[in-house]
Amino acid sequence: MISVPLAAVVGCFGCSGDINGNSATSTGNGEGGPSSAGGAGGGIAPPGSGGTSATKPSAGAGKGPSSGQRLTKQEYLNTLSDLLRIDAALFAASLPPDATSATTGFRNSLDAQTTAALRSSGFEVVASSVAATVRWTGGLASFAACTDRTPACQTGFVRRLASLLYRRPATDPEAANLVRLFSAVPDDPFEAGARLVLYAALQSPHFIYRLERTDRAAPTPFEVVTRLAFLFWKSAPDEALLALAGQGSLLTDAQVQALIQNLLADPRARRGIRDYADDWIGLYRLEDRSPDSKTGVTSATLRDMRDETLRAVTRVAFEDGGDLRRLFTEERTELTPALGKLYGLNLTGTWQVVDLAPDPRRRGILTHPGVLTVHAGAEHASIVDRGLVVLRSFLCGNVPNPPDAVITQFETIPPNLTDREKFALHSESPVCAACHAAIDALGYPFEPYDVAGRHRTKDAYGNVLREDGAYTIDGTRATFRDVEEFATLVGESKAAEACLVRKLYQYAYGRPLVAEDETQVTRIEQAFKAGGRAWKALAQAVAGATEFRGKAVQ
Amino acid sequence: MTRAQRHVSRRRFLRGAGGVAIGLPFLLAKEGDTRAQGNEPPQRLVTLFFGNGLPKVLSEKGFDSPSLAALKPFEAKLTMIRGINVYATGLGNGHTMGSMGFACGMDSTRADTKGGPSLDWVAYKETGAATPLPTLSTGVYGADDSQERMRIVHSWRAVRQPNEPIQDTLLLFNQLFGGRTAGPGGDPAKQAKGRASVLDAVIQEYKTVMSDAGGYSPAIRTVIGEHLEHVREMERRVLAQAMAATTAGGTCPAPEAPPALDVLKEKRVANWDKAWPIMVDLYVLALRCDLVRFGNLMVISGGDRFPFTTPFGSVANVHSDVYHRWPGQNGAILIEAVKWQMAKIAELFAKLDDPSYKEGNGGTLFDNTTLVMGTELGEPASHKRDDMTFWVGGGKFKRGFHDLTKVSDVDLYNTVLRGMGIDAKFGDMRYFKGLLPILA
Repeated sequence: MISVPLAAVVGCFGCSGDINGNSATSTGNGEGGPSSAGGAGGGIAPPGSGGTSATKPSAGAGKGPSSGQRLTKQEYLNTLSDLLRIDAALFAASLPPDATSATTGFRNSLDAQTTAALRSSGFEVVASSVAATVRWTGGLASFAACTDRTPACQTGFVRRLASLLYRRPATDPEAANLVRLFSAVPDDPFEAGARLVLYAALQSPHFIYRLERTDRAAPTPFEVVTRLAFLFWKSAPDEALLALAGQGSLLTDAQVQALIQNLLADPRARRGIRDYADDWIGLYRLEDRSPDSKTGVTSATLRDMRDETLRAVTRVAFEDGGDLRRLFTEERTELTPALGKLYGLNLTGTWQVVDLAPDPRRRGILTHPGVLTVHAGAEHASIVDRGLVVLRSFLCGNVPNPPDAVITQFETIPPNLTDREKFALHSESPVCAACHAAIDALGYPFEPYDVAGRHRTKDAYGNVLREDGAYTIDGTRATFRDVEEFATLVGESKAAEACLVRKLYQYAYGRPLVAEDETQVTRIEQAFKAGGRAWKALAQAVAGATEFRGKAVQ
Repeated sequence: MTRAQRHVSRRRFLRGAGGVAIGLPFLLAKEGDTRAQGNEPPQRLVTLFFGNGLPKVLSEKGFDSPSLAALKPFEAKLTMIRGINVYATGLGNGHTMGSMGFACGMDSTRADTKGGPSLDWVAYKETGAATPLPTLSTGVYGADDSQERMRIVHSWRAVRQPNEPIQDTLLLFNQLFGGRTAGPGGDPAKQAKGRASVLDAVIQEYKTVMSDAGGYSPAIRTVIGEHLEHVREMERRVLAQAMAATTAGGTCPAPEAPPALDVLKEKRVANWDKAWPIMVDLYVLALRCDLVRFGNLMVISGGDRFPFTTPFGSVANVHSDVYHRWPGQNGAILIEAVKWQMAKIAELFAKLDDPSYKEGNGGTLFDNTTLVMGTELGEPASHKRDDMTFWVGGGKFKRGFHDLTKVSDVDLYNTVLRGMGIDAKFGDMRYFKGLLPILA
């Protein structure tokens, strides 16, 4: 007998209230877990509406990026790896996970960044470990022009190191504060003091946080390159970028566009889009999943699932002309033998590109096992979870959280119904119908895919599972016969195209959209379309806008 | 004190980690403690959370309830209260809201936070404790809904200021006893001095940001201010550890570092069974050493889904396969799951109540530590949060089984604080009906 997580089966949503209510994380994973992206409070926001508060001006909002963010765990580790040439992933366990913003769906928004003593002490632990283990020769020593225990040598070392880690020249008081650490080890070689300096600098607010003053009319060139580096590399600017900023000549459109091209050409840009997609699609939550002997999914399979989709996003963005709509319709994917089993393929070796054109059940990332798994219950697939991620992450619509009471309302539903039949009951409930009209049909195409993303034609009760449905998108009621037609419908929709822009915009700016952004977003949408809907066109439109180089907002 | 004196042998620690009697407190019982020489013990409060709920029927016989048999040996020191309603609300399902209410009693509309400070934090602030760690949270859990932090974190300083649980035994050890290798040389005193200097420099930078009133936004300055407080706490801890390392015949020697067991690396009972005894040992040691007086211990976070094997069968997901189906299919497995959780808690109780370690007033750590224990659901299938059962241990409360009606968790928490001599109003007072009749 199949068991069904009640909340997933009966997930019933109280859709009353205005369209701009405060958002909160969804509980749409069937057992109370959050959705990967977007808020869930307030009322219904249809596809293409942005899924944000953009329809109403917010007091104090402006057009620039956020003025303050803590580095996310991934940004922190990437930065350590890049600047100090170490494998900082070894320290990942020392830091607690980041929360997802209920307003943007991303983890780099200040509103999601709670302060935890354990995280602060984790930064200290990592700083301690890095300072103790980083190579001296060929590593930390490269910041020292000389190693005499003289003030000149100490100050020179501190200035060069701190200016890299703080992403701008260290001030005199900052340098003096760090130079004093050499006196804590008066009898030891220069190296000992240098390691203490690194130990301290890695805990500095100017390293751990991205701090921009709000009492200036415009950001400094150092702040501009920092914004760009974290957007495209998910990491801090390197010495070359900072040197460029130090020339103070980065403020023309042409120079910035050229710089963006250089950033995108750097190998770190591929890591950057992987990390962006990880947040956007919520794939990082596969880490919360446990191996499942019933489906044969192991920890390694879960890692492969995540990697498959991240590889696909990277490939579409950088190798195949860059039209991001192909994310929804792409016929090729990269698989390992473990993933191949989920596709019904017998593969050997390691990662390999597989052409799935003959199999219409596999189109784009929406049919990737990782996406299907992370947006499913722990044991059972859910058309609600899958419909929600399409609505929130790919169409930028929204619905509020379900009321708690619904969990008990549907315990009498016969278990031998299909998900679609169970959810049809929503139409009989005025409390549930409004929201589920916005969700369920977006999940219908995925009903044949089990919790691990394997395709089946019948469920455990022998019910034939369907993929067809109808949905109003771009203001037009459209029907689809199967997941292939659905993928094309979504991929070619204006709603999805606009959502690609709005998601990256919020990620880049580190804050939710507000009404004041609409003009700029529209301009970016036009540039994105004119640029063949390519990743590079989108990136240049978002980061090349003068607003992205504008005064930071509080 | 020599380095050898500071450490218990690794063999001895691992013996405990393997489940064999560890003989807590390592060297403490032999070396003694200053408080044990006649001083009055400090005020302490530790909350204990066990996840996924407790069906009402399993507690209807009070301490004689078969599922709760592991707690029976501590009956004389426990207060069991039935009939408690948890009213906290805001978002999510019953697991979310029940977890939200635990040790807090306030609503929250955000997934990343409880609605206010937790009981242990308020007690910490009210008592003015100056221990190296303000609070300590740890436990064995799956964090299967990791974005809903109220399910996983039960110690909060304020909204969006979690005292996150430590998920790894070695990290827990390091938090308590240092264990840094940073800085030059291997001499602990020298390392501690280096760390203190570094933290002092770091504090200066945070203070500079905070003092720069015209520059940074209020939102980021709030975050920076909270981070600054954390760094100050670290500095106090380092100084305390340095003092312990340099005091001749130190009063609270550290054990050898335990093996690193991450409870989230393998979300399995077998892993948790290995980690829990180490966590309990370290926690008890921290209380004895007065490294901390407040905090939370957890056995399973709210709504966790993990495989569970019993003589009555095995399930891949105890949450949906067992708790959601209560009292029907797999009921026997649910009872075993509850027994497993109670056994874990009883293990803690036994070590807290170790008669070989008495404090200045002649009581055990159990006697002198207020314990508040509960879960997030009253009925796992319906996810209702009424008529629930909580426990209070230690402190000065009337013992026995109190079968009450329609009282609230906020009533309980305020009663506990009052029993500790703390006259603060706690939780959402809309949910406060009155003090419970358990004050001694």
